[in-house]
Amino acid sequence: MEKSNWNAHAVAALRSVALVMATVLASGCATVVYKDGASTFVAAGRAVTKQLSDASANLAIAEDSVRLSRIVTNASCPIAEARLFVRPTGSSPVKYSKLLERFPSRASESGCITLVKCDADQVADQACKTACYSREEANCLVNLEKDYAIEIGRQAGKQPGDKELSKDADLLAARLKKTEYGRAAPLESRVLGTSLQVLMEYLDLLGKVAEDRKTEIPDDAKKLSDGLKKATDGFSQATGTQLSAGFTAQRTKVQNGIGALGKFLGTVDLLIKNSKDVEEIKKIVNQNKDAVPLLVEAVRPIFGGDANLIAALNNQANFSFRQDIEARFEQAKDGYERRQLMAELTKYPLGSGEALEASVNKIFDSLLRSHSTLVTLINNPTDDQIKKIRSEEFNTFRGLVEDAAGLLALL
Amino acid sequence: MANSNTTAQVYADTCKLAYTETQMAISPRSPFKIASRSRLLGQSGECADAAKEFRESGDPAAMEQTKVDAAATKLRAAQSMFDYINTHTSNTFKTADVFNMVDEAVQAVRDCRA
Repeated sequence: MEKSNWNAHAVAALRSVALVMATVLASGCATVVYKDGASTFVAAGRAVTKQLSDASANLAIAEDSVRLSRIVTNASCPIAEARLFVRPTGSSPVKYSKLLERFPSRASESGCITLVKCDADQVADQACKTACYSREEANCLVNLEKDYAIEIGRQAGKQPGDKELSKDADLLAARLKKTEYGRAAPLESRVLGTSLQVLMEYLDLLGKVAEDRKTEIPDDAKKLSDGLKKATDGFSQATGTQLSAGFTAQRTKVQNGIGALGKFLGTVDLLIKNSKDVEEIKKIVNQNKDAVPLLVEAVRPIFGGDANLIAALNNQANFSFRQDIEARFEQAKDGYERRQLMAELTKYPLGSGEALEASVNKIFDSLLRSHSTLVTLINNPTDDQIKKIRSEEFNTFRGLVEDAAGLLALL
Repeated sequence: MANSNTTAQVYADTCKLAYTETQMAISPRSPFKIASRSRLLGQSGECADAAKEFRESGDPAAMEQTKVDAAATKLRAAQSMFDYINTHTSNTFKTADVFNMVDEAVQAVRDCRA
């Protein structure tokens, strides 16, 4: 099942990492708290982990900035309304006329008639050139979405189900999502954030295995295991609410990930029952050493892509805001007003996606190197040279996450 | 079914292209001029939209590898045109060549989900 979704490799890698973790958990005994928090990957990476997962979750906010930049170009946008829709610039392959077909009384309302007229390709009517859908058109959209929700509710549980209804509802949800200002953010960044957190916690755990700090291992392993269980529950809860209005493709995709994680937690429980030997830990660490590169390669392009996409969307919006300020600058009556406008410009910086992408790549490279060194150290625990390399690699990692955190703050 | 690592890379490359074209709009280099800004910004917005749609509902199991590979090739071609413009003092590109290449790349990304 997990092969069928975007996060397939991440989920598979999480499973392998958890296998090792479960073995480690099963082999430990007493409890001693690890005090030197500043020297752990989790502590060093905390700020950037949160910022990176927030940045991915904030893609919708960046998208909204672009919509906002269009809204402010047009004085006719009905901004007092509870829901505001930005008119798309290009043509859409899915037409509202088709989506309205199953609700003829709705289709006959004046707002819907305008909506359909303006949705046709190459319309010359000036009423269709506004940045936002009019109050009446927007009301048609809001009611159409409600109509689909009601109809889906009425059809629930009926056999055979109306596949066309579900398909059309998804098409409508997709169109609304593209045009509505302030619509909910997607979920998938949670999987990314969890993956990065698991990587760092796992490296800290390996560090303790390498140093033979057995008494600290069970607590850490349990914490990691509990965290994964909580994350899995979190995905399920969010899926039940945020995506309930439609978008089955996205819902299925997230649920596939949840299902895979659930299965993998079952395997963890099985292993906890069956494994006791410390030597077994080393064996399994070696057997599963590909899990970390697999997880890194699954999430790296998505984080890198998000970094560029956020920068692109923010820059598109900010450039438009800067042009608005320039228009005001031209009309300003004196130097004082122009100085104020210059100060206003600093709110709309043009950020660098390349720098952030490079920085994120370096973090993942550093994590890979650290993992490889830790595995070597677990196999050769008395080798001072490897210990030195491990220490240097950790310091490099700490420096890199500080750089990335600084760049993320600029976006 | 398409390989999930190559689909993730297509997502990353689409985002990169959207970003690069946005930067070209902000600081146009020949063959682009200040007058090309509006079109560059519009097209980079389309590219960003395609990336976002791909990220949200791009399901590798429902995609054909050949289409994903075709998108990757088009994206690389478009990206390399911008890279050339950004790293050379002159070039023989026409704006239409670049716009067409980006259009083709964006369409190929959307076709992956068709």
